[in-house]
Amino acid sequence: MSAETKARPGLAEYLGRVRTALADLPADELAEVMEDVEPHVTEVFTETGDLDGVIGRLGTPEAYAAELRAAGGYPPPGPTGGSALWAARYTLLVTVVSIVVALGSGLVALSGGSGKFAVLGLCVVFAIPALMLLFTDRVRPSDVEALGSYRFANRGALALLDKLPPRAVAYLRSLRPAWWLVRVLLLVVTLMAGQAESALVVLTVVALVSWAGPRSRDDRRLLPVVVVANAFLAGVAIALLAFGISASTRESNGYPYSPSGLYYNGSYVNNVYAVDEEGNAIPQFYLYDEDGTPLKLYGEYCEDRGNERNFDNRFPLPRIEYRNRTCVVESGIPFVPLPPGATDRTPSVPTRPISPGASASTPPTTTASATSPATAPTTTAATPPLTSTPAPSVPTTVTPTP
Amino acid sequence: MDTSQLLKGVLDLAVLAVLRDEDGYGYDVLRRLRGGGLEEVGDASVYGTLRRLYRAGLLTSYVVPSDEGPHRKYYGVNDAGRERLVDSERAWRAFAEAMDGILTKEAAA
Repeated sequence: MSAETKARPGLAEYLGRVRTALADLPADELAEVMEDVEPHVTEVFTETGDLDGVIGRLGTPEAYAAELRAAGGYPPPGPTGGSALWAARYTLLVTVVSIVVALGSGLVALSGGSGKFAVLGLCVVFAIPALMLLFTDRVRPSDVEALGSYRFANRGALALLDKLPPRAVAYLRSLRPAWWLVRVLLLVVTLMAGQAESALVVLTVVALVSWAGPRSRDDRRLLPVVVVANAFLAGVAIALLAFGISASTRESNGYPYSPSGLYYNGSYVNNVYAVDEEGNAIPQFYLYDEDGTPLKLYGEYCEDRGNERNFDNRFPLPRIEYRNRTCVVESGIPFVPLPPGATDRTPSVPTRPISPGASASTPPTTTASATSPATAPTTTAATPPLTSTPAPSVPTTVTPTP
Repeated sequence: MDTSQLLKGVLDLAVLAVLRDEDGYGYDVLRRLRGGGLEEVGDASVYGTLRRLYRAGLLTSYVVPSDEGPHRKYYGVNDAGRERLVDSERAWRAFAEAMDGILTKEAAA
């Protein structure tokens, strides 16, 4: 821009706005156009004396650019040039990702757990620049619609809609006025669910949809906001519907929820032990039901065993104890079994278990002797404790000499 | 009738015609067209048309430095432009004659 444009207030701005309106033209062509336009507008400015005169004769810079574009056979304005294109792409990407995340967040909105809205919050952060681009008109809705990826997705969506039976589509369309009722319902249910965070988010989104929805018909810049907000509410609605359906089928079928695991008289069985008719523990056996299906229980093993047989029908399952931060497998019986012939009574549980090898190969008296006398049952524990050592924390008396 | 609609179809021909004998920069072309009676021609339309004819290879252009203002870019008709001018002129005369005939007959009837 030369010195004389500076001396004329508004001239440089007028030319700048023409250039901006034509910014999507190839750079060389734009330079050529401006070589024509600059002397022209400058001359008109000289003739009319001020900017108002220029606008009176040539119209606004944008109108001037539009007329030049039409007469010059240039393509209609679109986001074909660098930054505008990327801005439009960014806006589209953020919108699509936000729709997906909003739907997902809606699905989990009423479930427990914290941080379920973290991703949604992140989306809002990324959406702020896109919204700024939209509402400062640096990205127009038409720019986004001109993107190849948008047109592709739009064609796909319309083709999918065509495949649906027309009556179903018409029915869904007829439901549209009921959507505000659904929103109110969602809000009420969420408030009743008693989750403050979810209720706040749903309240915000319902308010947003109610405010922006009607306005988006005139102002298409609000459309992505409305679509994302509705996707969230749709997610909440689907989650509620699914919850309702599963609850009602459960009731109608009369099947109570049956958790996995072994049960005896209504309480959970953690482990199973077996003794022979003399009361000797059977060190290893496998359980099956009447169909030959293994009755598996989850057993905890020490780390060196790996996870290979964590879920096993081999019994008894090992019991894990940690002593001095080392994992010790206790595979013996944690109680002294009564001989099957004896009276049925609850056995007392000793603090120290019996080693399975010893109990399998030695007579029952030895078994009993391995337990501490304080807790031994009254049946066979006649012999005093012999070899049983207390906890390993007791220091050994043997000191190695250097 | 809105003459701007009529202008759209013949602006190419008009621009080529006013440049036939003498090269000119954009504002020259505009003045010649208005001086010739096409008062309604839009400024920006003329500039757009010049660029389009140039891109179609019908015009040449060269920049002339100016002491008083921005450099002026002059346009001139090249050989291809002259050929186009002859063709378009013939088409226009035939068209105008046909329109004249139609209008005369309708008026007489």
